Amino acid sequence: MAAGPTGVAVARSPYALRRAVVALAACAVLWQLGARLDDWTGVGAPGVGALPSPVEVAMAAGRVVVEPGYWISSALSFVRVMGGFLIALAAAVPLGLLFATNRTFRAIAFPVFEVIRPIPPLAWVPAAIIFWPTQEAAITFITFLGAFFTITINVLSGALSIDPRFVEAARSLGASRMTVFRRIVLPATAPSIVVASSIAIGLSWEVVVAAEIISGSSAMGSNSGGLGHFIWASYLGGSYDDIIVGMISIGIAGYLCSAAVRKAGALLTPWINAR
Amino acid sequence: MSAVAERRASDQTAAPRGRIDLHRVAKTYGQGRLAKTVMEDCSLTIEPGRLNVVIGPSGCGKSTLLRLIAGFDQPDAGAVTADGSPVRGPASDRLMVFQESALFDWMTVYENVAFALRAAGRGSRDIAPLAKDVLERVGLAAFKEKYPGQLSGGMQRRVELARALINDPAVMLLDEPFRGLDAMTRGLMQEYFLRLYADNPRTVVFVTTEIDEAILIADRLIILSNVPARVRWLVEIDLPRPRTVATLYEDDRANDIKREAIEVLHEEAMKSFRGAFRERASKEAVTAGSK
Ligand SMILES: Nc1ncnc2c1ncn2[C@@H]1O[C@H](COP(=O)(O)OP(=O)(O)O)[C@@H](O)[C@H]1O
Ligand SMILES: [Mg+2]
Repeated sequence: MAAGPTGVAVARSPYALRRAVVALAACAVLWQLGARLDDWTGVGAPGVGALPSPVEVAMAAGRVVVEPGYWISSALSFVRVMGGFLIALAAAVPLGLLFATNRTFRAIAFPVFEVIRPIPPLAWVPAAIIFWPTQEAAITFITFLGAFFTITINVLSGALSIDPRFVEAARSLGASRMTVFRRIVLPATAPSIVVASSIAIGLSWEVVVAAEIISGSSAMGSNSGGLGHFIWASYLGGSYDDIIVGMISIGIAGYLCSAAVRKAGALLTPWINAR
Repeated sequence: MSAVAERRASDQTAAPRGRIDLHRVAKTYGQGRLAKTVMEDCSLTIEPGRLNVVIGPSGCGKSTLLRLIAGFDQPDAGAVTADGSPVRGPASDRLMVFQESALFDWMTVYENVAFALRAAGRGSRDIAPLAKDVLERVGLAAFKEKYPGQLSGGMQRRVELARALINDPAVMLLDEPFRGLDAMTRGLMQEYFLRLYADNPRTVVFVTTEIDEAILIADRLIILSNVPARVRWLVEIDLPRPRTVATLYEDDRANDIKREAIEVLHEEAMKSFRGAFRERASKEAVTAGSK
């Protein structure tokens, strides 16, 4: 087992896959037991008793995944998440580095940044709908916010924690300020960028659903609202199995996206795991 | 002749470069109640083309001395000059090798070694033979594609030496370069360093806290006083070379120097203890008085 760029131990054990499958299966079994307790004993498990059982959900999933509408919803949410995330990445990395390297800029802009940062992305939804011309832009803006602040803060603290000896060694070796920035500050911050990105893309998935539910409930057709709208429409239509299918879909999508970001990050920072 | 040595021979400057003078230098870190005067009225000459070894009790200002020479810090009073002109900032002909490894983790051994030449705008075809030559000299040609994190401590120090040597700096500043290595590796590194140096002499300021290492390496031994740092004792180490730990062990002259140096060092080190005792005593007096 080796420490990954997130500091979380990355499973290298040959048993890792087997363990993950067993754990997921165990969850499903517990859930099934909880959902059926009422039928068997007459006493429902609190909370879980109201849920559809995993068997029902699996059957619903089998039905849903052959509908194009489900895939259109997933694709819509994915595009919104990726759009917001990539714009956030492109904006937050330079901003974080600028905060870290330019004291004057930091003194001027950081307080503003810090006041805006605690505002939850969901609180922005009404303002975003009013401000942006299309609903699509509004939702992408919310996913952008979900990722932007996290990446900026992590890049800033990553760049500030660079060992000053690296910079001094580079200067002693005759490097210009530009070379120090390109070949010392940037790569030394890269691990922070990777960690921040893998967290941030998860945050974008967290907020996209709520943004879709809040904004999409007004005008959109049932297939145009993304996974958030899929869940909300399922709720309104009383198909509770589909709600769970939607929720699990988001979980899987978020997991796959974070894993993809970590993988890409590992390729960009090959020195981290080369030990 | 090695590629670096050729480059050196083609240099126009005949007189040995790299004379460093400190004239009545003072340096204080911090302000107000936190102010700490690390150097005061310190004058010292680093002779060009020689192995100047600086030794002193821990915390006495050795690293500060190197940082002033390197140009990372500026003196509060007095002057630091290199070959007659004042030191205004870091430059690649006064090259610092840091106390603990400061290799760039994200670059391979080769990229680390090539760093300075690339920063100077030289093309990769230009750099390749020089880097290859330097890596061979430190015995790490086979490891050029590895990252520093994949090397042992001793290998990392050798990469660090290679990264400095490729610049052929007039002055090399080494801050406890072998600290933290186990005794065996340390001994090997000392031998290694002396062999490299014999091939390619230059001005070296070598900081250490180990008296045996100091006598093994030094042409000139400079013992600093306890903080604020001043030259406490300066001695020419005119022992024949090549020296080894074994020959020095039997050498009366070496043992005399060592004994005397240890006495001076001990005296200086005790000052900081006595200072600490006195400080504690006065603090206790204050707390007792305030009751
Ligand atoms: N940047 C700094 N700020 C405050 N104090 C410092 C700084 N650098 C060094 N000092 C203090 O100056 C003294 C000498 O430090 P240094 O030159 O690193 O000693 P040495 O290398 O001989 O162990 C120490 O007491 C240290 O705490
Ligand atoms: Mg030191």
